[in-house]
Amino acid sequence: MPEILLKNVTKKWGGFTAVENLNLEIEDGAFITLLGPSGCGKTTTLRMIAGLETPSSGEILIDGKVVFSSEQGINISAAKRDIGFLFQNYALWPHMTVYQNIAFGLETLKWKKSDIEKRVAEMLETLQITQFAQRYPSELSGGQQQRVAIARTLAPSPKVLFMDEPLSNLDAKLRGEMRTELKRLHADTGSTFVYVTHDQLEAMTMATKICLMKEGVLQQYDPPLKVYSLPANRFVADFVGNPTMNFIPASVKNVSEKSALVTMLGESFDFVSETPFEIAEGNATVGVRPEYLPISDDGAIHGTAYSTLPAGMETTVKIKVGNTILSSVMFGSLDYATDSNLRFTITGNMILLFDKNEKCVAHGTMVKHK
Amino acid sequence: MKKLIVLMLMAGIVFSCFAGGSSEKAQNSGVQAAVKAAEKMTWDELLQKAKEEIGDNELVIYGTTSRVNEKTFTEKTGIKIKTDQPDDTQIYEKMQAEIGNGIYGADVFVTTDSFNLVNLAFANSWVVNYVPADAKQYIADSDQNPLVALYYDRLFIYNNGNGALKNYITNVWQVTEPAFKGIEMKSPLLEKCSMNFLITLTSPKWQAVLADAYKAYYGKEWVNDGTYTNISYEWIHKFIQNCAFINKDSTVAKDLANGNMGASGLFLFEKFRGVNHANLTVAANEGIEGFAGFLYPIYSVVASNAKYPYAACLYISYLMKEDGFRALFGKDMGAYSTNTSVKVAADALAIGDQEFSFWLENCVIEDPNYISSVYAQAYTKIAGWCAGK
Amino acid sequence: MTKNNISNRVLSYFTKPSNVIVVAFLIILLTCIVYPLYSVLNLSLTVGQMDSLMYNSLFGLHLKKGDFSLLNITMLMFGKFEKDYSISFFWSPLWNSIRMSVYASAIAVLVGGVIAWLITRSDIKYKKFISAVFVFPYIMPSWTLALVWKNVFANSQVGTGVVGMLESLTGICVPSWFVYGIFPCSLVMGIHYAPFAYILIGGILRNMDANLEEAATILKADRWRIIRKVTLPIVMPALISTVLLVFSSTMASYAVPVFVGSPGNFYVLSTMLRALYSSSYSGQSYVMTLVLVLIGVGMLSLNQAVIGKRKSFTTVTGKSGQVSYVKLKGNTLISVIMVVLLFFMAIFPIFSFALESLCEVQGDYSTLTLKFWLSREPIGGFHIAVGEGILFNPTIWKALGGSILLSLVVSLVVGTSGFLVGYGVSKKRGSRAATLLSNVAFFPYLIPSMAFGSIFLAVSTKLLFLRGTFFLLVLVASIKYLPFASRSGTSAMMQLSGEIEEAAIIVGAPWITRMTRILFPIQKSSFISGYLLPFVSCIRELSLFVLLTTSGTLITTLLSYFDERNVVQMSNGINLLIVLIVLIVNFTTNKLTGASIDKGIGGN
Repeated sequence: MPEILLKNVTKKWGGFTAVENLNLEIEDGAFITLLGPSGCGKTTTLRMIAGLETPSSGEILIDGKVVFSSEQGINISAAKRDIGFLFQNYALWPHMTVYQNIAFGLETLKWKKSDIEKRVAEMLETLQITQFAQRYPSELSGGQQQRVAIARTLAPSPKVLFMDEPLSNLDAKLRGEMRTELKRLHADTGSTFVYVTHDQLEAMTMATKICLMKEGVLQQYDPPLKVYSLPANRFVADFVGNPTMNFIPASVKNVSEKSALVTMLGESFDFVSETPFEIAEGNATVGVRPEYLPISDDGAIHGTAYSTLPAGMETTVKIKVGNTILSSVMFGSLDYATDSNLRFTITGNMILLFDKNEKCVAHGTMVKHK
Repeated sequence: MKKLIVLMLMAGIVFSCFAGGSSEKAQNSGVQAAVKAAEKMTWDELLQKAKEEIGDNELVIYGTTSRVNEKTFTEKTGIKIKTDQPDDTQIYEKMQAEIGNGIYGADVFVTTDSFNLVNLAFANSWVVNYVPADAKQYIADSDQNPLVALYYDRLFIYNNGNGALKNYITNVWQVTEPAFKGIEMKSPLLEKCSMNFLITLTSPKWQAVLADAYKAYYGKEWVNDGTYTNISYEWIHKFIQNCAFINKDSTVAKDLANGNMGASGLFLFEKFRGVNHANLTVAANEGIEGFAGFLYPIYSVVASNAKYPYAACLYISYLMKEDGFRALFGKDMGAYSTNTSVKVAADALAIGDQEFSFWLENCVIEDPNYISSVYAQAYTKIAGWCAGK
Repeated sequence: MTKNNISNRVLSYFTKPSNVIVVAFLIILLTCIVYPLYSVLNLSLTVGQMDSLMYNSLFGLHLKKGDFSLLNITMLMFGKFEKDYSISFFWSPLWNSIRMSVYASAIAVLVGGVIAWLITRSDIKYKKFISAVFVFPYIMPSWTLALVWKNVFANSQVGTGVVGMLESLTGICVPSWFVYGIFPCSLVMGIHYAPFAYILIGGILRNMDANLEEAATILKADRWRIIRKVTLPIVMPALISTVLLVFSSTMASYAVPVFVGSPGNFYVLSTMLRALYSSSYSGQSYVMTLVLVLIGVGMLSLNQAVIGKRKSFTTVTGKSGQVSYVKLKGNTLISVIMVVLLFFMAIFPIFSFALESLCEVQGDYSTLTLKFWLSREPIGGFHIAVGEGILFNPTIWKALGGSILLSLVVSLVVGTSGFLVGYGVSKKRGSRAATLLSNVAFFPYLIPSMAFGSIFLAVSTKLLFLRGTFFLLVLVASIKYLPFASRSGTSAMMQLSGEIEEAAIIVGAPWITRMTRILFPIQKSSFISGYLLPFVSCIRELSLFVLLTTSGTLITTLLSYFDERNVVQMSNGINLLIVLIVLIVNFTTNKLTGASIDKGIGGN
């Protein structure tokens, strides 16, 4: 079954390197998201796997078969890679009806007419767009167009499905709905999904594994929760999670095998990890997810309420400590008067320590030094 | 895709090879001999020989006049023709491109411009001269080598205001006067025969004529004050300065016929009948001191690589016969066969045309030998004047 | 890099149809353009047989045909022989050409721009009529307008005093400079190309986001200030494009200066080119051709330099739904004036052709007859065989058939090529090959038709299989008319996102299917316009073919035959026939497919 392998894939345009020496293994049936800010090379990577772009060097295998190799001069066309591709702008053919759009791929595969009719009807049914079959794309709303595009892509039952920011043109509500349905489709079809997005929430909620890239270089390739809680570096930590992680400037000394003395926010803390780590003494950064900074009357650290942002289910409180502003997320609806004093704690064993090179060296607990 | 393109190219080449079936190299050394033989044949002998030679194929004629396209030749002889009408530059360009490269293009040329005919066509042996036996005795020797089939004339003509104006142009020097500013003619830059006329005018013979006319008009001898090489150049320069160049003779004819009384021009007499000519007077018919206009030759010669030399000779022979001339040129006016047995039609004479001999006496006639001797200098000078108006 | 690797790369390069197309068209076009250009250069730098006779005699030289010589250039450009030879033949016509082209461009932009603004931004009446009829002057041959100009304004004070329509109706005599010379030349050329400006500028105005102007309104800018500070800068690229296209077209125009220039002693480069070509110094005409080509290249590079940087301006948002129309003061008056002007520019010529073809005696409207159209007997009264009336005349039908066949084949070849070039260029956009291709494809536009014809006559003597064939006519016309088809093809392709085709690649549709079932249908109207424009240009073309074909094979050669023989009823009738065919083809194509000439020129 399809397993996708990328070996040392590089893509250059003139002097600009879009993707650098990328190695990636995508298991069968996975839902992979290629995540990163715009220009990080994620779309290029996707297009190279799909065969729409030719890599400058490297090798790509799908299902054990070499589909591209710069060494061997192999470059199998997109048409023969047995894939589906969902485009950002849907790329629906404006001169064809919904029915014709979906049937087109099956026609090129020389399906029998009756089979085509059956399959199209099935797809229309699945995506709940049966009533639009004879309409033209321009007569549909964005969400409906999206469904048509999905139906068209899924109709030939591709083993691998590539999606290039397919939800970015939809409004927030529709996007949420479509996420659910895409995840459901993934389960139903059992195909391998490769999904490009710059929206970390999409990546987090849908993927089985996230491939996070920056400037053409792979940063981390792990399941979403691992990427969330154990980011490889500050870039990853910053990119994933909303509100973003608090990065607190700190200085480290008295480093032992599994602990260190950390000074930040004008106070001293004992950092203890379960695993040994190494870090040079001096400046460092401590990373704390907002949910690990609960506000409580008996909290160890003092600060003032800078601003309170209730969202109903949870509330984000911006806390000012000295010159640093921290985010804290609390369950429920809270309100703190601006500039009022409050106290909070640092909890949990997922407090991160980044070295001078912004690499995450350890996670552990942070307790106020006594 | 690659295959498709290759295929298309191949198809194109094959297609054009078929379409261009007539384009094989035809280096017919027998043309000279055939023409020699034809010169001794009567019409009937030649007709038979030509028919044998050409069969059902087409005789190709290039002519600077569209009149070569009349159907009467085919009706008379059963020989099919195909014609092309290049202008007096293009016809020599075509000769050079075709005969000069050993390619068969045409069998017969009907063309103007003695200078190019002599210095290009004959000098390079692109063409062969032929004089039909039965017409030879009626053709002046000077018109036999190369054979002039006929002459056309361009004449000074003015608008007479429906008969109100008479004797308006009586001396050729008048047209150089301010009163004649705007006198119309086709630009000598665009037509060789007009240029050849002006060059011929610079010959001693016409200098003398102009000097006499000058004396008659101004009442004094012409004196060379150094401005012009000779009297002819003064006349030419002043005339050109007065001219309005129009791109077609038919337009000049219309302009004069429909214009103000006194509007004048020098135009192809052939166009006279096509317009409201009751309004027009030919200066020559009232008498004009100097010259009444000019005659220019239409030559007819055989291509030196003709495919059907006998048929070509037959065609030329036809042009020289009365019925041929009448069918092609003579039913209109202002065209004069060099075959002196062919007279100008009565209906033409009725509206102002005259016999050839009259025009020979009253017009400047293109003089190939003189033109060749002074061509470059005279041409460049006059062309510069025409361009720099 | 190993050898194997390189050959792999070459192979994989040619597996992409877009690469094959770009390379194939580059090769074909470079051969068909570079070779002719090389021969022009060669002919400029060598002496022909007649040239050598002239030069040898003038300067006492011993040049032979084909010898290298700079004399063609030096004599034309610097010759002092007999007063100012070079000034008469070159510098003064050059100056005239430049002035005429500058004025014509200004008039085109002004007239076209104003109409474009009126149609897209004001509440002027009869919009449909105005915008439909305004393209007529471009569709019709340019000299029809010159002819009408002459027929209307000629008067008893000018030339031989033929009375024109204006004088006979009102007694007004306009001065000579109004009838002949640079004024009518510039004006007629300007009006002929005004639709160009209208289409290009109007296209941008129509697609320009109205918010841009509304934003300025909210900032309390007055109308004029908005036009000056917002609208004008945004349409500037289209404006510059128009100016440069009109400029180079006017430079190469021949018929109009002949009709209304020469009688006023107004000579331009193209009329002098024709004179030189017919003269005994034909070598110098190639120098002139070269000059015209160089001016064209200069204009094109200027266009590229100016537009290249500012192209982003033209990016359309297409979201300008509600434009608030400017209320014109005296709307009805302005509208009526526009309609009347358009009537004279666009409809009157057609009427006058029709009328002239119905007069038994030319110019006498009391002698109307239909015989020149309907007579089944040969028409007498002329001294050439005129043949039957136009509708029953086998010669005319044969020539018309020839013209239509040629135009159809050419339009098929050119339209398809334009589509393919557009595809290749848009797929390879930014690559050097694509840029080269789009420039090379535009190049034939810069070579005057007459020079083009004469170059290919020379070529055909080298390539025998081409001589005198229909294929040669098709080839020459196809190359000559490719520029606009490739432009419209490219702009239509550029508007399609690459995903549209990729979506079809993914489902395994082969190249041909993608072209015929996806790309072509989507931009159908633009591409069909790419077929329409060559058809229209081809059927009215004369100077391109005159050297390459025999008279009577094409309708325009027949037209000049009747014209020359002064059978004006027939020539006017044929004129009308040509104009009507063009209009009918344009109209039907428009109704059936939505394509129109304006899309072919580059409007949206």
